Amino acid sequence: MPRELSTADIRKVASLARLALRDDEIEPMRASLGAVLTYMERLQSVDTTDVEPLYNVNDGAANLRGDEPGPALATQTLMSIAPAPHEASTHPPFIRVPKVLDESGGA
Amino acid sequence: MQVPTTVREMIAGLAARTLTSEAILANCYDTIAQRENVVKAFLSLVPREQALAQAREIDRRRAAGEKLPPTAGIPIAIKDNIAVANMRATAGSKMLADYVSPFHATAVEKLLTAGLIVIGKTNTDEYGFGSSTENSAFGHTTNPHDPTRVPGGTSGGSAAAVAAGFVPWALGSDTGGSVRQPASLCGVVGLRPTYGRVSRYGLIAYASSMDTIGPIATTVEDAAMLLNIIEGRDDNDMTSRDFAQTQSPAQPRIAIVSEYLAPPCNVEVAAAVRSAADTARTVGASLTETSLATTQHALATYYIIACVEAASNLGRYDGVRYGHRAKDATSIDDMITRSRSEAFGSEAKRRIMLGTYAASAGYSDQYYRKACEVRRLIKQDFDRAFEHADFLLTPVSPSTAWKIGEKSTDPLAMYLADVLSVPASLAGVPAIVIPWGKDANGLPIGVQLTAQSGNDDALIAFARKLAQ
Amino acid sequence: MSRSFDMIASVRLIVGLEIHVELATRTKVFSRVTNPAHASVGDIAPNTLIDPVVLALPGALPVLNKEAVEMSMMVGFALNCTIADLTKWDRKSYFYPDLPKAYQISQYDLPVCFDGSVDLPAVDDKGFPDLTKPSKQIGIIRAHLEEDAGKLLHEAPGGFAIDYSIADYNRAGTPLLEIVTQPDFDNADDVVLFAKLLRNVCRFLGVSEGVMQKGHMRFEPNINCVLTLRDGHTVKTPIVEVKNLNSFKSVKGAIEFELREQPGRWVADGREFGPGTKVTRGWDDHANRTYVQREKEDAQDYRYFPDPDILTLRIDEAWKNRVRTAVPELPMQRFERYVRDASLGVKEAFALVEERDVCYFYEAIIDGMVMQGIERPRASKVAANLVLQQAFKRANEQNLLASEIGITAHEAAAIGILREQGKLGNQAVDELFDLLCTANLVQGRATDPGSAGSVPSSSQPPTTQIKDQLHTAFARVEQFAREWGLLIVRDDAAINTAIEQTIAANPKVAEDVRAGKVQAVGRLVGEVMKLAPGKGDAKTVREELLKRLTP
Repeated sequence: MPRELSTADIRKVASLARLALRDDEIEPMRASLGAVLTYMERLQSVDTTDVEPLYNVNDGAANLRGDEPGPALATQTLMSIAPAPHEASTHPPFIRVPKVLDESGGA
Repeated sequence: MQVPTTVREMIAGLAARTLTSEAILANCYDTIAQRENVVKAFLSLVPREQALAQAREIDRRRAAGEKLPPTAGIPIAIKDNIAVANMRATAGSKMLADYVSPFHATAVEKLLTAGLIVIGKTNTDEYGFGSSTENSAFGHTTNPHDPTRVPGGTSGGSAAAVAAGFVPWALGSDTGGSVRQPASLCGVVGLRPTYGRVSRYGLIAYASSMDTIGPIATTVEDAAMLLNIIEGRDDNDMTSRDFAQTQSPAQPRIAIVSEYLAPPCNVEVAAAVRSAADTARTVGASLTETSLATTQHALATYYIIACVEAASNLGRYDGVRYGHRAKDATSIDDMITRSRSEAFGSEAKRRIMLGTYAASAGYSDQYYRKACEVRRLIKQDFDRAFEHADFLLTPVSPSTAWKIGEKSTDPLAMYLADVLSVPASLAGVPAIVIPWGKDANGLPIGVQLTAQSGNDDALIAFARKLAQ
Repeated sequence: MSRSFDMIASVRLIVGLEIHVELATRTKVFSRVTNPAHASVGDIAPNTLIDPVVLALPGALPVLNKEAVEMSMMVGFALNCTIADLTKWDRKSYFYPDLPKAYQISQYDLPVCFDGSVDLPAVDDKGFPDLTKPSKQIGIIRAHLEEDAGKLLHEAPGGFAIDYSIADYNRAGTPLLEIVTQPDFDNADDVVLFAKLLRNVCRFLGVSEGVMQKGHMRFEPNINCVLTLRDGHTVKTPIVEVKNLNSFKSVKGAIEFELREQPGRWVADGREFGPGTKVTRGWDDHANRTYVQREKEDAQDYRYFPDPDILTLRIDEAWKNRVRTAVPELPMQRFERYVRDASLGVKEAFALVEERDVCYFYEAIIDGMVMQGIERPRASKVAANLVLQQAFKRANEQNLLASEIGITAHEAAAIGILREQGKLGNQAVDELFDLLCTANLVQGRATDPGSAGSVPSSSQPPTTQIKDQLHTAFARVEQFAREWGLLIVRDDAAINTAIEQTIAANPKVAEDVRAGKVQAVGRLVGEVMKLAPGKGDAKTVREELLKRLTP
């Protein structure tokens, strides 16, 4: 049987997924995820020794693209779909976001 | 001018000049005006006059002797998770309530090249998360056969629009059964092509390894015609492929899958499959019974893989570049977190949580990798079955349309509705659903035919034979 | 247990290096929009190199750029890596406003290249490779192809303070090759030499311009130390990864700073190497020190899984061979060849391999001279002098590459040949070189065939064609030299007169030569050449002088 999901587990996963759950949402989420995960436990009984995982049925048949340029999207189009003007909105031709302090981003 | 219900007849009428596109469109809008307030299939609808103007222009060009595609001037509805440039593409989510796509999906591009007139975008469960179209942020769609019941989902809007006669055909998308199951519940034809046959470019991603755009129509022939328009390898989708033409054998071998007819499949649905099997024999097919032992694992496998991919695919909705952005954020994390929390519905949150958990450190092998291994076994199971059978004949939905609200409080019950449709999704094989009678309540029942990967044409050819 | 510096007997440095190279494909790695790291792209306005894929608009899909894969394979070959038979791309998930999809498409367990090694030459006291000493092996763990993120700015253009941040997605989706070495370095100089050689390799392969200021290469050293204590025990300090260094100077600075600081940190806090102890630090270029970076708490759970949008890729032998044959002779191999075969000094040879186009220019001059019958070792010397003296001087003045100054390689070869034939004096070589550069730049001839700077194609043009080009260039150069009076028109009588006048006017020097100080004859040669310019070559004059002044 799987380890019972704790409230702390739910909060940790929610934080990873950037979801804020209200206190009264935690327990229903814990219960429904628990039920689904319990159902999924049935897979543990399947013998998959030496079975390679299947990620995409078309794997190995990749068609790569030639290095030929295509059209760009107009900066104005980005500005037109960017979040509506309010507190933290656009700063043409940039996208404006709240001040970022940490430096752990970047590829 | 009498407007026919099938695309085949419309094409004949347009070619013979006994019918105009304007008449077809006017008839669509008249029907919509009568019933849309109950069915609620559309999330956005092109204004009548604008669509009719397009139709008149096509009529004028055709009358002037211009060489147009035979389908020019036929209307179509598009599920709202497929991008049509300059129209909203909400995917049924509050997150994208005001998002207007700046580009066309490849399938839409092809529809427009074929002269089709897009009249609207249809309702869907948010990002394809559901089985009843109740999980739409913009309200539910009802079943045209009974307004107290669900149309199925997630392409419930498209299936209902076709069943209600709003459009002769529509595009849906099928990840775990979202074209086939609503087609079954609404009494229309739904086709899930082989994975990769239709480009996913412009289809708002749910589970990328299973997402498939598919036609919904009133006849197998019309669905096939729509597939022919939208199929083909696309440079914008690495997973897309071309497939050689295939033909149905003169005496196809049909197999009934025992696991699919056991509970939870209900008795009336099972009886319809048996009846379809009898008919198959009368049109020259031989009949066997086979076993797909992995069927019992398919649902768990599907939900783990689908949720892991979905959680990742929905990461882009962070309120930064487009979509809903929370107001008065105190930090970047606060902005991203609140934007997502305010705009995602509860089922979207549940699947994001599930997928995040199943892919996280320490659990990924136990859940995600294990599911991918079982997925291979499921695929191998299908491969074995297709050594002895050309087509599998099964139900696609264990029941007919259920009451609105009946399953919406129990996520697992809702997931179980997909138990018969997800195996084909995992295996990437083509499957078609055709109407096969009605239950005691007068609700449509559908049966599903499944073929080996790439055998879509053969599948369609046999489905046509069976449907006649 | 209390710790003190006195306990430490010796400190050994351990460094592994991660290098991000922006590949110079025309288009981005997963979409068709222009790649800012391509040579054709200059300054660009923010958010112009964007499309649905780059912005992760709903419905957009990545499609892998074949050129990016092949460039990665080329680097893999150059680093003696194994190229994968099967490779795949994975999603690395984290939320950040410069990462549009909230995941970076990277490679987790099946990189394109793995298990390589590089011979790192020893260096002399001036920092040049020293081929007389044994080289070191630097292991390459892997090289994988991923996408770059966009840029987040914290001040507005022009340096104005803003109380928010702004995002520019031009860089998002630029192909990045991440190369990871084994922790095989034990000093900062070796790391810098490796970094420089890698940059040259990338330039030779044509996979990157390697302009550090543009961020074409970014370095992340993983640094720790082994402390040997006086009681014989050894202690390893925790690994410090210094992020995003974009100059050789900062690489050296960061490593040396950590080498100085880590023993003291251990004395202060006693923390030792072990799971979960690695920390990342930033580099302050002004203060010349590393500093602790703020980090997200969940940054370590990237939830890698195979990207279902990108099919696994098989690389068969035929494809590998095709790419392998496109890999040119690498700079270090050329360097060794120049030192060995052309007897060039290490400084000269190193200067010639620093830039690919200069190197090709140099070799094209040699080939031109050899075709005209000059022995290759001699041609190599003469060509080296032409490039390192005439061409480099001009290039420095004009801030160009030596291959870009206007003269074609064939014309330079013609000058070399005229010089060898005794038809040009030193002064005349300089003048003719400058004249041709100027004339060509004015006439826009620099892109003529044989101008070098162009990568030699694998299918060489027919030799007759090259010969024709060479003859044309030769005729042009000779005509130029004649028109400008630079050719030596041999006039023995005039030379004899000048020799007699020179000996008469410099009795003391003549006496020195007679007394056996042969090297003093050089001054007399110069005087003769001044008295009879263009009438004879220095070699003949020298011989004539020695004949008269020595028995």
